[in-house]
Amino acid sequence: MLRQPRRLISAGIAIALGVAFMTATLLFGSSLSAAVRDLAGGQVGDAAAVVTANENEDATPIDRQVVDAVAAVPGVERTRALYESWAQLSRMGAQTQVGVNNLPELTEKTTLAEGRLPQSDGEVAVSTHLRDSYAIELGEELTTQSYLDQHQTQSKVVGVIDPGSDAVTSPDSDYLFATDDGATAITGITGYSSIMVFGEDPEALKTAIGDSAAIKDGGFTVRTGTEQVQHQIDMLAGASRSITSFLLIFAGIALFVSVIVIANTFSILVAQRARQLAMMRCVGATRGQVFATVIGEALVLGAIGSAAGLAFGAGLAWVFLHFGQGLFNTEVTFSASTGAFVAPFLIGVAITFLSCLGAARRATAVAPLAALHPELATAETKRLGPVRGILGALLVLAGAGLLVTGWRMAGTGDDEAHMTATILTAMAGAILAWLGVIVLGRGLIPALAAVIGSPLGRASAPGELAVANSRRNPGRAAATANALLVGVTLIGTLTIGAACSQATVDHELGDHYPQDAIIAPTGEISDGVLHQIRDTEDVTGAERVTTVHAQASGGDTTKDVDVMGVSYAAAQLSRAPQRYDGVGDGEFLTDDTDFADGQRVTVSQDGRSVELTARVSPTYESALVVTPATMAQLAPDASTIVWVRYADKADAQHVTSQLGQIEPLKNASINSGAAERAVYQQLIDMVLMVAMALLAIAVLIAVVGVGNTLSLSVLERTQELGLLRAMGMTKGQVRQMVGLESMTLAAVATVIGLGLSVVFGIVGARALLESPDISLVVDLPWLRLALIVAVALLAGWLASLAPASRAVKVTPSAALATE
Amino acid sequence: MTTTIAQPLTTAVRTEQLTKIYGQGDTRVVALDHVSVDFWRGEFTAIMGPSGSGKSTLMHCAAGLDTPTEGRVLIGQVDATALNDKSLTLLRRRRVGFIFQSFNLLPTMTARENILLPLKLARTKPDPAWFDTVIAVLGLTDRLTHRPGELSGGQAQRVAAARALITRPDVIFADEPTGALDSSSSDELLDFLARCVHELGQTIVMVTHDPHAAGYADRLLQLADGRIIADKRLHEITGQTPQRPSRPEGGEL
Ligand SMILES: Nc1ncnc2c1ncn2[C@@H]1O[C@H](COP(=O)(O)OP(=O)(O)OP(=O)(O)O)[C@@H](O)[C@H]1O
Ligand SMILES: [Mg+2]
Repeated sequence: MLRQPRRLISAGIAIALGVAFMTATLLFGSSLSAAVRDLAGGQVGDAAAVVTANENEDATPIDRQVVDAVAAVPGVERTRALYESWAQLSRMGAQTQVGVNNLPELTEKTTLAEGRLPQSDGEVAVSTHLRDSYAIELGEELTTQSYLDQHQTQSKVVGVIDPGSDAVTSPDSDYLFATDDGATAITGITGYSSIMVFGEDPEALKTAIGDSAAIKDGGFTVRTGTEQVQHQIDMLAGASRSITSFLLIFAGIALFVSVIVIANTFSILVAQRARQLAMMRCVGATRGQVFATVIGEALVLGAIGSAAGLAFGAGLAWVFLHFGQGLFNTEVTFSASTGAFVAPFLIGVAITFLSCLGAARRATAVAPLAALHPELATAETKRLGPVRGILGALLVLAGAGLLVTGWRMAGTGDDEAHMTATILTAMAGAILAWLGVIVLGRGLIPALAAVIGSPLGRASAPGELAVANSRRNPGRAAATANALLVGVTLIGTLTIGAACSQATVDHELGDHYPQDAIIAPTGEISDGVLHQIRDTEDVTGAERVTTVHAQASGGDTTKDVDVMGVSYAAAQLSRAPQRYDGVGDGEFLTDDTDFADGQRVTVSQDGRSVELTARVSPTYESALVVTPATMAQLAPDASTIVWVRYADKADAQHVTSQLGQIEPLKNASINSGAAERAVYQQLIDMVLMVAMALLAIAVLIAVVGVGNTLSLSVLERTQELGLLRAMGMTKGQVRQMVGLESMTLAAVATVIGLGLSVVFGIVGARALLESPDISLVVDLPWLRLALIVAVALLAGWLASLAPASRAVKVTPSAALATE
Repeated sequence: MTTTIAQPLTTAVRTEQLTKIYGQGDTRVVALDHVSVDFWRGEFTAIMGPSGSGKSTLMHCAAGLDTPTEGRVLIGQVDATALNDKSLTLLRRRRVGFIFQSFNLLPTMTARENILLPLKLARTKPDPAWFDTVIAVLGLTDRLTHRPGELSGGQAQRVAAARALITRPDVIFADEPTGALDSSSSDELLDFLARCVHELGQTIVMVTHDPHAAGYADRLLQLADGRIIADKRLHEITGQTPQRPSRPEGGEL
């Protein structure tokens, strides 16, 4: 085989791609751990000991007294207390989370970029990243909101700090720096996160501090500087290790696909060389020698492919780290561990070896007699045997059973153990069913090819030939399509799962945030302003809604309630219009079960009162929803808010900040549910995108495999092609034939893959999301699924280009040349 | 059998100064050396000669399967050597039929599908009467649903002959069609080919090593070292088969 290196190129590419993926992942991981080590060391610096507050919620905060007590411990030369917390920064209607720290020490790494350091409580400095993200200028007033009690603080920007890893955990992100009291004032949270203690003997200091009463009573942790660094590495490295293992799963999938492709390549090559091998046996080669020939070739191929993959993967990792720094909050420099080079190489060689064992074993089974009787050599029409048939059917049945169990279990329990069990059951079901389908491939794939291909066959001679060719060798067709099936199933499952999750989350958030935005102005809303809101880009509607606090009494209940006057037009703007729909004059809607459906309730406010009929249903709001006319009777001067509806594809953050810039709304509070939903959507989309990009490698390998099988089949059919050409098949028709064969296989893989995906995606999303109070919303993303089909067919066609151009090179006279 | 008056013969295929040279320098082989020959319509020509004398090369060039180094090939009135690949392919599809020594049929198709394949490639509808005539003449009526693997060698060659005939080509080229057959199957096939010529008015050019097979032909060309060294008429065809239309209507056999 090595004498015909062209036949092995694609198998080599499959190995190289899998190995490259793995190398890149490992190198990325090792670079990340190096960065983590750097980062962890940063804040601790040359502190001899570190005191940290406990991580659990109700731990005593480290307050000023504790810091003073530590400073008073003999041997302590100096202390530095770090304050690290968060707040929400509102700027022009948009909200963002920022870190709030006390002032860092200025060092080589941490410098003052502009202005000066804050000196009083009302002053802050911003990090360079925050300045650049929001174009903040010196002298500006920033409004922040506490996460603890929602109180707002105004602070003046007096400086810009370029923080280094010795000051903060992620230098390239958004921070506000303030004096200790200033920082506490912004967040409303008291207590330092840690105290850096400087002195001579770390161990002695650790013991001395640990023995002091203040530390003992507070239950704080004391570590030496070195211990603290190690502790942080352990924590951060956990995160970087999980990124690496996440990536390795995808590398594993890619390698799995490579195994299918390589095994298929070798078994085709062995089948094609059967006569040659038989001839070798005839002239005296032993079985062992035949076996060794095939294995030897595989090892050479594996070594070359893996070496190429190693180089390629290292290049990829380097390029990614070089140009992709923006993705990280800290600098990650390329750093290689030996393992990252040795492991992928060995694995590459090993999987090539394992993949071709079957083919090598089959090679030894070629009888010497086959040299004389060609038909013995070409008995490679592997159909679905009874063993595979039964095994496959059992796997599918078992998988289906588990999937149904998973479906039933989902949503019946809320605790972690139950959820985990549900997910594992569904996952095991999916894997078993999927393996079953792969095992049944030899029967399933040719059968489906016949069905899918039948219109092609009727349309033209090349189509008919293509479909016949694709089914001709069931074992080969199945292996080729299965490689593609792996990628398509995973991508399809993720796409459908993501769409269902998105729909479910949307539905849930629609309940929590029924309005895209609610504007609560400081004063009245004039018609002019309302028009300005409506005219804002991507705003599809805005309506006034009135609200008032009132007392409601009916029967023996009397309670304080919120009353909302919602017009029909306003209700239609909501994402949950059913909450407000159909309210008539003289009645109110509520889900408050203190009232009974049909009960007469007196609602009074500021000396006025109206008597209304209650309509109670769990679909309604907790507030009492009335018509604007009822509201006018009850409270003519109720305060007005505005409900706003955004366009469905709008960039919610952007629209919200546009609204915030309308002059009379500068001080209004804009509460955007759409922005909140967008955050989830972006998150889901990002996870989906990353996973797709990673799976693309597996698909690429599979496509290489399709091209590979076709090329080898074309070589095998030289005579046939010559015959067709002699009979008047044009080059165009030959290309069409090879292309259609490839696309038929791709279509079969896609149909099976997407069929499985629908089941796996929906069951998976249900197992992951559903709980007693959340029910799954099924949403099939037709457009994306159509895109997957289109891409798969296109990939099939692309894979056929090289084999097709090889096929048209066959001259008609080749058919006349026997042998 | 409509007329007994001899008409002048027209050529189905004609070669002019056909030369084919393979390789260069030391490996240079002159396979055909300025061969000029006419193959007449309705004539059964056999080509014989020692191995390596250029028989297959002549056939390939004359059939438009290969391009000559020098000289011209006229198929019907068309200069095949001046055509590009696409036009040449279409010319072959319409005007030329082939029967090879072995491997004539596509293994994935039934006998019927194999026979109809050239028409399907050209996207034309088969003429049912002609189809029935051809399979009746070749005795294939009850073999149509078989795949090549299920046919005997002789049957497979007859299917190939049927496929060559179905498009009513100007000429059928057969390269050692009986090479892989035993003598009785071989006689059967040759008998059919001769009937095609004499009863259906088909033009056939056949390469063979077997003098017995050549005996079925009307004319015998002998080749040696890429040159024609003899051109003998074996039967007086003009008397036997009057110039019938080269594309006879079917069904009147
Ligand atoms: N593709 C080729 N490349 C180089 N030389 C060739 C090629 N095909 C044929 N030849 C040479 O051309 C000459 C004529 O070959 P051709 O196949 O026409 O002989 P033939 O008369 O058909 O022989 P046989 O009876 O053995 O089939 C031979 O010497 C052969 O070696
Ligand atoms: Mg020959």
